This record gives sequence, C-alpha cells and structure tokens, in this order.
Amino acid sequence: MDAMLTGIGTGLSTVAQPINLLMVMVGCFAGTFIGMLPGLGPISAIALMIPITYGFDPASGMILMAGVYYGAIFGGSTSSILINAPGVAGTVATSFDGYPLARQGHAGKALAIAAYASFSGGTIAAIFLLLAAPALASVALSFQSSDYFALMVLGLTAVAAFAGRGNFLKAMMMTVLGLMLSTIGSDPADGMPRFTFGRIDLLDGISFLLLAMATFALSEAIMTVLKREKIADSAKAAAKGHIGSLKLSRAEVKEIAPSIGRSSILGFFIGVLPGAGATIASFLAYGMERNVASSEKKKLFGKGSIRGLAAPETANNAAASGSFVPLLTLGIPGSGTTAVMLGALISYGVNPGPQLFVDRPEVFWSVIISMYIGNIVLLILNLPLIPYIARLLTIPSHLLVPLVLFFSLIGVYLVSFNTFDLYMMVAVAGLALILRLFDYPMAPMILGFILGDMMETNLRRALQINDGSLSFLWERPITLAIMLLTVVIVVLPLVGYFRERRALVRAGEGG
Amino acid sequence: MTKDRIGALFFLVLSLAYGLEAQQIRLLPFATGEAFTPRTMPTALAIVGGVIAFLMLVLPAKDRPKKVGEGAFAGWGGFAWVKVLALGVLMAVYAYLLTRAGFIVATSLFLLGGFLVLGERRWPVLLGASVPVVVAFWFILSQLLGIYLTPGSWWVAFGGGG
Repeated sequence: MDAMLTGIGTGLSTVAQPINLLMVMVGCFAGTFIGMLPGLGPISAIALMIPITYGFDPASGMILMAGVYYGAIFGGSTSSILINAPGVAGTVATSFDGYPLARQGHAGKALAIAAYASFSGGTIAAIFLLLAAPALASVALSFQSSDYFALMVLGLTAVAAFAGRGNFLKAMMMTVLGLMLSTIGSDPADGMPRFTFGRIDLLDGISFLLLAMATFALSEAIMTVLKREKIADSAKAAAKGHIGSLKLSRAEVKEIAPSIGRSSILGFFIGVLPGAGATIASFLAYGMERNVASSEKKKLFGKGSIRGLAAPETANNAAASGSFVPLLTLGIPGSGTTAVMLGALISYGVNPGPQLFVDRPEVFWSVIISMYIGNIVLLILNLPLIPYIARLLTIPSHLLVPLVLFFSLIGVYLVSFNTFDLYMMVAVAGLALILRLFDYPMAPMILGFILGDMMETNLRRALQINDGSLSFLWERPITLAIMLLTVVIVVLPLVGYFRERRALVRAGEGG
Repeated sequence: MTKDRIGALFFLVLSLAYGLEAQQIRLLPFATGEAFTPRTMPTALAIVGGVIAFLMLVLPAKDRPKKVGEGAFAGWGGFAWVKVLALGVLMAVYAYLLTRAGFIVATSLFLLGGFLVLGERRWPVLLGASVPVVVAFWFILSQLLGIYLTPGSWWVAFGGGG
C-alpha cells in the first residue's frame, strides 16, 4: 500500500510539472481534432504524434499519447453524435442514440452525457488500473520467457478471435503478415541479414513508425479520397448547428448513473482482455443496458435513449484504460492502439513489462495519473470548446488530405532522414489500401509486427533453456494454462463455423 | 472468383515465396546444428501462413446460399482511382525532390500538387495554403527545434543555399 501511495505521489508530481500538464492538454485537443475526422482513428492520431515526441522525456511522451488516445475517442463520439459519422469504430455504438438525440435538438445534452459518461468511465477504470496494474506487475515478475512466448501467442490469437464473425482467418493472416514483416532485417541473435535482398536500407528492418503511418494515417486519408468521402460537408453542418443546452436535469443524472457504474466495470474488464477493446466493450455495454432496461425504456433505444448513449460512451473509455493493464504490466499490447504506444515506448528506450514498474516507476505511474488528468481536461476544456473545434473541421477535405499526407511523410522522414523510407511508405500504403478494400483488418498486423521480435527472442531463450525441446509448452503450468486458453480461442470460432455450416446444409436440404 | 479467394491466393503465394526465401538465409558455421537458428521463426511463419491461406481458400467466410453474383469480385469502378494514383505518384516525386530541391521547394510543390489533384483551382487558396504553411513549418523545425533540413543538393551544386 505504501509503495502504491509513493507511486501515486511520483505520478502526480511528474504529471503536475507544467510541461506535462501542457502535454495532456495538447494531446486531448489534438486527439479530439483528429478523432473527429471521419476515417482517422486513435491509431493514426497517435502515430502522427510519435515523431513530435521523439526528443521528449518518455514520461512526457506517454502522457501526450494518453491524452491523444482519450481525445481521439472523445472526438469520435462528437462526430458520431453531431453528424452520425463515427471517426472510430469504438464510437459506432454512440451514434445509435447520440445522433437521434442531436436530431431532436438535444445535441448539447448528448455531448454533455458523452463527456460525463466518458469522464466517469475513465475515472472508475483509472482507479481499477491503479489497483490492478501493480498487483499484476508483481505477479508477472515471476514469468519466464516461455510464459511470455505463450502470452504473446495468446494476445495475437485473441486479437484475431475478436475481429468478428467470418474475419478470424483474415485477422490471423494479417497477424502472420505482421510477424513476417518483423523478420525483415538483421536477425536479433546472430545478426544475419534476413529478407533484405541486398539492400543496406533494410538491414535495420522496417521502422515501426513507417508501418503504422503507412497502414493507418496514409492509407486512411487516401481511402477518403478513393471513396469520395467528404469530410468537410458533414463538419460544416456540425459547426453551423446549434448544439443547445449542455445541462442535465437531476432525473436524467439519476437515470444514467447506474448505467455508468455497470458499463465502467464491464468496459474495464473487456479492455484488459487482449484483443477486445473499446469497440467490443461499447457494443456489449449497449446490449447489456438494453437488456436490463424496462420494456418501456427499451423502446427508446435507438431513438434517443440517454442510457443507450451513456453506456457505450462509458464502456469505451473504461476499456481504453483497461487496455493499458497488459501493456504496462506485461509489455504486451492488447489492441492496435496500445501496440502503437508500445512501439513509441520502445523508441524512447523504455522496455514495458513488469520491470517498468520497478525500473521506471515515474513512467508507469505518470501514465496512469495522466489518464485521469486527461479525463478532467476533456470534461473541463474540450466540452465547452466543441463547437469551436468542430469549426476547425470546416477546412475542406481537398485541403486537409494533402496536409495529412505531408505530416505522415515528413514525420517518418524526420526520424530516419532517409528518403528510401518515403518510397517504402508509398508502397506499403498502396498495399494497405488494397488489403483494406479486400476487408483485411490492419490492427492485427501492427500488433504482430511489434510483438514479432519479442516473440522470437522469448521463444529462442525458452528453447535454449530447454535444450532445444518444446516440452516447456506442457511442462510449465503457467505456459500450459496460457497455451490451453489459446487453443480454446482458436477452436471456438471454428466450431461456430462448422455448426453454422451444418445448419445451412440442413436448411438447404429442408427447403 | 470471390474477393476472399483472390486474397487467400495472394497470401498463399506470399507464404510460399517467404518460406522459400527463408531457406536462403545464411547461417553462421556453428549455428547450423542449433535448435533455433535465424531460419526457425521465418520457416514456422511460412508454414502457419500457408495453412491459414489454404483454409481461407477452402473455407470461404461467407458460406451461405448466395444470390447470383453476390460476393463475386465486381471491381471498384466507382472509386476515384485516378486521383489516388496521382497522389501516389506525387508522394514518390516528393520523396525524390526532398533532398534535391530542398524542404521548402519540394513540400510547397507537393502541397500545391495535392490540392490541384483533389480539385482546388483558386490560385490564392492554392498558394496561401501551401507556401506559408511550409515556411512556418520549416521555421519551427529548423529555427525553433534545431532540426537540420537539407537545403537541397541542386542548390548546393549551384553554390547557393535554400
């Protein structure tokens, strides 16, 4: 307990430094702005921020990232509510009731509910995180390389399993592609070149930033051009629209309070699970809230129910906090967004994992505390400023897209000062665009890419300790338990698939 | 052929090529007898990738009774392919010009080109949204943050700066 209080003190004193407070605010604003743009999500927002934070202290960098993450989710909610165009998948459920509320002239109220729900969800989850992370970190200190290897296999499989019906194999394929890309460059142990095709530029491998920027920021921006999506028109409507009062009545607060409580807990635990995240949490919370509502209230869902808005908003923020648990304690990101953050941490020279808690307590605690501060900033500063931030979006998309492309390209160039990286980005973005059109998800690839190196290192170490035998997979109880869980995750979707297929065959025979 | 099958075939070929290339990785003399070599992980990945791609090929994801033509690859005719291709070329040209024409010239041309490709035709907007933005960004990077940006080899060759 003492250690925790000391940690909180360390975190508070780090976050309270003026530069770090500024980081939270800048992060929240930038995140809100980028998250509002339909098509650009938190991964793009964070990736765009990485080059800016390279020279920063790791704690300041991570604080900025956490702010951007929250801001992007909030920004996504704002565009969901105002213009029914969720910037990110995690806020799709928000539009179900948020947009009808806005159309009824209660946009201000809907935004306020979203902000209060996000704040409450984030706050409750930050408290859980405060309690869970150090405990898990101390348990994780006893983990060996075989356990880590098993955990990474579990994390990668879970991401694919949560990718949605029919997408399991596609997500698995993308994970493998990410792992394959991570093997390009010098081999981590012997330094032998692999898949470099004689090019010196590839000896260091593909930079994570290049891959994240090309597959997210670049390809998402190009996708809006390809699909002729107009960012500006919808944003204009938001900027001109009267958002109405931001106040909630006492009865309304009373109505949403239990929903917020339930959804916070659900969201946090969903967020902790590797692979699940804000999107799944928000849909589950929405579904749960509709199930527990009285039949009279149930009718309002989808037509402007304030509970239907509060639940997913709470859950997606709580899940965002929850997803930091595996990142901070095990060094294993549970989602595409936290994978990008892991990449950022590694580039700062910080190795996340249980040792982070021991070696760099100021980073560990300041990230946790900054999440809370980020939520406060969103509530106090962003909410009243939303109409003005929305006005910034009236920059037409034909001016905005080239700027996003420029920031992505120059962001990568400023780190490597190698134009080869820029050619490679264009090629990777083109491939990513085509894969997106074929409905292949990008997040599992980033996760695979980031975990690839660590996975190989841990597998090698485990094999060396075991004289080259794979017996550690079943002889070590922790490893075995994690591997069994992985098998369950792989088998379940396949069983579902075959069951569905059999039912279809029967239906075909019957009719 | 459905979209899913085309994707599966692509990944099957990719996994095969990756697996073959993995066998070409050079090993240190003493490494050949070890349990884990630089080839181990790539070989395992090629196998896993091949199996997944094969499963995708034989187990189409949307295996339900289809209407005629549903799920077939119909192309993406309605998309703005020309603009996207033009942006791709523009980015490659930007990469080429960046170290040769220098940051300010190359970036201004890139933004101008991007705005033009996406349909902006008003010259005050074209110039106003590119050159001042680039100069301001250059000022922040090179003067405030002290990041060295090459003036451009062409100008240096002419004996000037940029």
